[in-house]
Amino acid sequence: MIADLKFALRMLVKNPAFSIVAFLAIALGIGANATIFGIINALILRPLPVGHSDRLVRIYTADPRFVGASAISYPNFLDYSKQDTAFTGMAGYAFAAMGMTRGAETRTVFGEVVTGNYFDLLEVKPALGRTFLPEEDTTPNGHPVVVLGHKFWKSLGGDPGIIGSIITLNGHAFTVIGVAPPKFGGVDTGFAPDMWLPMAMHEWVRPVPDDWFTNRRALFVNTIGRLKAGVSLSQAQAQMKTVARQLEQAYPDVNKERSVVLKSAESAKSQGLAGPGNEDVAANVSLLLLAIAASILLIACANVANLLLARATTRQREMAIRLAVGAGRGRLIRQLLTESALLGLLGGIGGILCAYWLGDVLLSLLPATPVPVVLDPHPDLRVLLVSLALAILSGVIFGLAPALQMARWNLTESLRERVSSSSGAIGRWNLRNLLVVAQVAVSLLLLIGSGLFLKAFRRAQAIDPGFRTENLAIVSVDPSLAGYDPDRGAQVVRRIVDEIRRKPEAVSAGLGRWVPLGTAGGIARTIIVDGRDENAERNRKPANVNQVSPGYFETLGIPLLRGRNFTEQDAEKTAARVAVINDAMAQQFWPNEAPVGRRFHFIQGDSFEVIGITRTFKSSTIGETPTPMVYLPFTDVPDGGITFFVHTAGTPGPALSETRRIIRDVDNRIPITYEKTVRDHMAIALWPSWMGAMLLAVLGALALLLASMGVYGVMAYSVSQRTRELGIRMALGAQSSQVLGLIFQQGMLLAAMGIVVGLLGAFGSTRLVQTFLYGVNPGDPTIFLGVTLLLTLAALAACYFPARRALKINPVLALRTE
Amino acid sequence: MIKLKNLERSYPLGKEKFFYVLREINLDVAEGDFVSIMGPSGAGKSTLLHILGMHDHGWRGEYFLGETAVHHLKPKERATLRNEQIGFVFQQYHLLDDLTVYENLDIPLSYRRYSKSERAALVADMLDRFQIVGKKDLYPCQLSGGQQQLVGVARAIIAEPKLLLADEPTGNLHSSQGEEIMELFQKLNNEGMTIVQVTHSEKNASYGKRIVQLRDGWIMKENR
Repeated sequence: MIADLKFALRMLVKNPAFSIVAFLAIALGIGANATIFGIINALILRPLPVGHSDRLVRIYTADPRFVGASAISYPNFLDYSKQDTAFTGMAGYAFAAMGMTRGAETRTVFGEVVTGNYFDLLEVKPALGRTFLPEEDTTPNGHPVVVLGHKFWKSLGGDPGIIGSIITLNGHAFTVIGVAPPKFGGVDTGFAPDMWLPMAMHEWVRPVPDDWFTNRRALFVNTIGRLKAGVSLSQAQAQMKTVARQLEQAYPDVNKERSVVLKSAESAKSQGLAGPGNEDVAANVSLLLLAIAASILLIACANVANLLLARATTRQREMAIRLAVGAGRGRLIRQLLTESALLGLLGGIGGILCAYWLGDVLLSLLPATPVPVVLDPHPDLRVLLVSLALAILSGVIFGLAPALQMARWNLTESLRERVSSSSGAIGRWNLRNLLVVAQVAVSLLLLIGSGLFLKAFRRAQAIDPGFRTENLAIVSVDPSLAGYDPDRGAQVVRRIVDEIRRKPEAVSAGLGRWVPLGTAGGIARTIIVDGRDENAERNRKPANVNQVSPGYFETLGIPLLRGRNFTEQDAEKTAARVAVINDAMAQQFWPNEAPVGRRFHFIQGDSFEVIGITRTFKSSTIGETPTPMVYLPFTDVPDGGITFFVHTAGTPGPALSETRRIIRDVDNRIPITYEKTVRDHMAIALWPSWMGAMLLAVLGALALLLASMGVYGVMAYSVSQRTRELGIRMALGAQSSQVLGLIFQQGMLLAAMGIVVGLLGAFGSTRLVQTFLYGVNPGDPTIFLGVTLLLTLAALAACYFPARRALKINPVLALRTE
Repeated sequence: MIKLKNLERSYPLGKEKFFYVLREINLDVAEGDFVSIMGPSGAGKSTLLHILGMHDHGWRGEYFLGETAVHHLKPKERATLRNEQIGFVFQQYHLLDDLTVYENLDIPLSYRRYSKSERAALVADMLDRFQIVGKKDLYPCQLSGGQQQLVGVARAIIAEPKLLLADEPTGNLHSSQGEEIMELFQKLNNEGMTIVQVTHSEKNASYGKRIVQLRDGWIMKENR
């Protein structure tokens, strides 16, 4: 075996051109796979950095009125925890944005308020100090302690003596008691909190103005449980459903039709990435990308197999002599497979290095989102091992056909001087030709996929979101994090918006609770039209609720279709309760009636009169169907803060810094949680489709490159094998154009067959990705024709150089090669 | 038919150094002549034949084919002239392995301006003339050496050249097959075709009218 390896290495060194081309093809194929697998590993496969993650489950509220699974209300969470169920324990956590003050600057940090048993339940040991004690989560506001995330601690300087020091959050002093281990970032992929704090500290950390911690309607506690030994997920689910039914009977007004659904923590960790109702998107996109990467590896393998088949012909005599001196055919195959596996291994190492680099490139392409996205696509040991195994397997696969072919050769014929030239001709359908046809077909398929995604991305860019996409500045703040109560918060933001409106560059300015196409488009509440049967399910429909100030609609360029806009008087506490609704809501709730003047109410609370109807805009995603929306007058700052929208006469950049300056002048403790021009903000909204299109375009280009290399390799080899034949033809009078015609005819016939097979495959398969295409026809003729033309040109270019070499054949020399 | 004046062929060996394969070749071949070029290996026989066949362009001197000054022609013009006037027979036959006997004969015609029906008629005529009609669908590997060379000769003359060049045409054949080919050459010569052959064999040379002896690139003597 060692002798085989040594000889294989010598053969690679002896044929540097062959070795380099084969190495590059494998490195590109494995590199693409390792990168995609690295992303999938980071999103889905890498186990949660907790103890025995297979025993952890996530517990959700199942409510038929809401899309997807929801979190649990805090009172329900407490009731679930008290029951002797299938779990050794249950822990809860909720996201919290905070203002951290250091010196004169307040910046937003992201944390989680967690139950006291959170770290113990997850079996996570701190890197420094300790985690929470159970008693630290019992007394409200009694234990201002914090455990820092490892990365956040590093960003603060990474002082090992940080334990016991004080940090100021929302104006309150918190003692650092520990630092989490480096790899731990909670149980949700893609988001790693800066810190964790006891849930009992929620009033300081998460100054929620209403009754979230006592209201069973408010679904915000993310819940994890650890299964007792011997209890299965389905058994736990059955037990929890029983408890849920008891809670439904005990609190029928709020828990009606609400049950629970359990998922393993490992399968649930990436399901929040694409929002409610899109739990399977990460898995589906991963599968699509993996299929593409595998196709590229196949093309690369076909390329190398072709090169090896070509080289096999030149080694025919070597193999014949080995057989003549006593080597068995099995021994020959082993030696040849050792050579190809070594080639695969070397290419695999190159591919993994390539994946490290591509991981950095991908990270640099991540946009600055409102909530920081944490993703580490770099290959870890799992990716490393899988990639190396894949590389060696590829080596065996692409080496198998040439090895078998060589071992089959007839000994006596091979020992003759001249090797038959027929192998280079088109006449016989050999494996090399079939491989090239397959390569062209697969790369055509990938290119058509890339083309469709790029067109879909352009279409998504061109979709009118229904609000102003130029000359608009967006700045979000959360005064509650600086200690303002909702009332005083409203006063301070009104003062700020008045100052903004006085600036000459501001055409108009307004306040709104949600940023369109942001992380949340609104908070969904159940709406019942006054006078209709409250208990009839058809009369209870959800709509997103937003709070906006006068000037909001003009600033965002959302036209009022009927009725009137809000006035300053509508926001007064004593004013009549009024609402503006969007067109989608009007059509859904009053399809054949005039909605202005009609009234509706939420499940609890006052009745509102509809005073106006606005055009519907895209609130959550660019591809969403029209979503009902209720606008209420802005009275006080809601949980999560408020956003200033500024319509500017010119470019909105200066308005961002001016708004920031005004906020700092009013109170520099108020943290700015988000600031972007509308164009930059839209780029984030379009980022997933942009990233998808980019990845596919890069992979498509790679496939095109590899397929061109394949056509070139086969044609170059064919020309070298046909030297004698071409020499004879020239000696017999063939003109340059006739020789060129021969070569192009051969190459283009292969390309044409690949294109036909690829087109048939594309017609059949592009319909499978229709949902990602924003309405682009999966059989789009311009894409199909354009890609066919592109591939034809690439094939022509790949044939050109071997054809030119064929023209330079000297008949005298060619005939002497006998 | 052919007139060579001070023709020389050399290959560079280094800075301003050359290795001469042919030196000051002066040769006249009349129409209807049958010339055998003889000499030891490395004398320059095949090089001279390839120059005459216009496969080799790197020579100096003057070469007239009929009234045409070949040395003044561009490569493309030489190729046209060659297609019109010259046929070539190789020692190793150089038939195309993947083509049948019929297709091999058709190849030279496909490179010249013949209609499809003319080509079919000429090939049929040639198969008949060489009595190989029964072998027209066979591949070269299915023929004996003599039969392959027969096809090689048929292919060389199918486009009706005025000059036939043959490089060791019987070198790979046993004696009876060689005699058959040489008798065929003699017959073609008697019908008016000019032939220049390279050969090592005195016996084969005796089928011709003249013998040109080459040694180290020089013409040593001529025998009639």
